[in-house]
Amino acid sequence: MLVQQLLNALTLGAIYALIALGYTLVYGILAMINFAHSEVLMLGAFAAWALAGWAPAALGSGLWGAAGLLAAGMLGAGLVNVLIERLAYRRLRRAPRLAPLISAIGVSIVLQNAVFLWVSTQSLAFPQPAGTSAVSFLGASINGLQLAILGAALGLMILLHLFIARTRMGRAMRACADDLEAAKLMGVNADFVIAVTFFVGGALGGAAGVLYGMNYGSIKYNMGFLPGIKAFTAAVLGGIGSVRGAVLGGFLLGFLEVLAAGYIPNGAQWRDVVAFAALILVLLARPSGLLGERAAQKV
Amino acid sequence: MSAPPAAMLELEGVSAAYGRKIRALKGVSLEAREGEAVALIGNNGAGKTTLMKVVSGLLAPEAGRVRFRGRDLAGLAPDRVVGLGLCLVPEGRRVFPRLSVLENLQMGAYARPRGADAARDLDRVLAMFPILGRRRSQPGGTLSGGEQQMLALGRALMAAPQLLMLDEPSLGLAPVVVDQIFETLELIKRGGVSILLVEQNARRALKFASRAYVLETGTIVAQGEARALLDDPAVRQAYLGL
Ligand SMILES: Nc1ncnc2c1ncn2[C@@H]1O[C@H](COP(=O)(O)OP(=O)(O)OP(=O)(O)O)[C@@H](O)[C@H]1O
Ligand SMILES: [Mg+2]
Repeated sequence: MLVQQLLNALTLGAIYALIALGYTLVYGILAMINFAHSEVLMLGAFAAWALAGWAPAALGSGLWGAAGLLAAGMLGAGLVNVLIERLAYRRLRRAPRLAPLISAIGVSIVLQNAVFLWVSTQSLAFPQPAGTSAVSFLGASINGLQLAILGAALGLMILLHLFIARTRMGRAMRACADDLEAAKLMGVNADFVIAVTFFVGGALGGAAGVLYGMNYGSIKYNMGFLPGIKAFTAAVLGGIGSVRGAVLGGFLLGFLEVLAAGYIPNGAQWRDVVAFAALILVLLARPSGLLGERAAQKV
Repeated sequence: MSAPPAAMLELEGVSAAYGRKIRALKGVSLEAREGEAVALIGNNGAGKTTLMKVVSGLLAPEAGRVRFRGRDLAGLAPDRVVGLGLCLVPEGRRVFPRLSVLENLQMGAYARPRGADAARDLDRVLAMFPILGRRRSQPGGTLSGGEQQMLALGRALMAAPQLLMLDEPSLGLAPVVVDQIFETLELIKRGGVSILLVEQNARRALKFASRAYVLETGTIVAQGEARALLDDPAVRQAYLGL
């Protein structure tokens, strides 16, 4: 029971963390909240769902098929995010801060309604990889699907870390996040780096959308809203703009929710209250989040 | 007599503005020749930083022409300009605070073709500023002001520029550190790099440069041999406090 609870928390936390990374990467470089991110993750799931419907035989139903779905969701969501930046945000980069925020909310509503009107108003079945039903672990029988989801999410986080810390493009991204103008003076094509950032952030969101769909076995046009807003919360909790903060915040939120649901009487109804109360408390004590840097440190 | 050195940077009637109202440059013409050190002096708000922004591509001029080694820079974004061999050390140093010292220097070489002599230049910069080597894995933002200026200078050298533009490199630094910066600039100059130097410390700048321009509210009001300007009574009174 305890092991299963722990796995629930880790799985949920890993999904939140993946989504939170998308918010934090974009915020780190443009200091804006991409409120369309919940729809990006939804569209990632729908892209994978479309692929599964179109080529079910080619994909197969095992873990390789699941990996194919993950790749499709990441590619689809990454491209959508790049397109959103290009069309709805880029021209507003020097505008007052409310303008891109409102633009993002507009994009979010448009995308959600587009799927509602043109794809489906109902929940759609999402393929779950076969052969992952139950695994025995430490004497407990636990859900193998969750284990696979957790593994995939952690793998992506490690890849992201290596990309940001070790590659030339990752270094350019960090330089842009530190000082966009100085990075341009060093020869960095800022528009391109920003597009790459949106792609990477969107792809992580798309991965989360696919994993979320696999976890619950279904997707819907409004599936992005709740995990999106919670992951945003997680990013703020960890310190928005901080990559490590997003991961920490995501897992923290996952644990808080699962603990509340499991150990408080009637907990399932209290989980969101507990999670957001914790957010308020943390922000009161540390306004820039757990690992956030003081705003003044940014030149 | 050998032919006079070719022009490196030429500005012709350059005007620039912020929005509609603030006209920061009004028809400025100046040039810097190959291997030459040119100083640009002027009071606060004269338009010195604006001029460097225009040349480096950060701000589009309203009128006039900027040419670098004969090539018109109109419409070129800053990341393209630096690739041509023209590098700006911006006002306020602007090192990347969360990147390590080494990564800051690597960013300096970003515009160069991969695998170019960046490794050799890194050794050269670290030899020039040994303190940067000792602090190589420390975040740039944790360096002292003087160390940050050395880092900003070293970072610009990593771009292997043919023309180095410096916007107030001595601002807010202790006299010893200023001496060290100017000694380094002397070395760079002797290495054949052209320099365009903006300085509050007009005396220092005029002693360093061979020629100079005086900018007042967006207009060049005096120009000539740096020595001559040092002795010019009007310049002495306005900029040297004599
Ligand atoms: N971003 C900006 N927006 C609006 N006006 C600006 C901006 N930057 C500079 N200015 C104005 O343009 C004029 C020239 O400024 P600039 O920064 O080029 O002067 P400067 O010679 O570099 O001064 P300092 O010695 O103080 O650095 C000033 O009147 C300044 O107020
Ligand atoms: Mg200035």
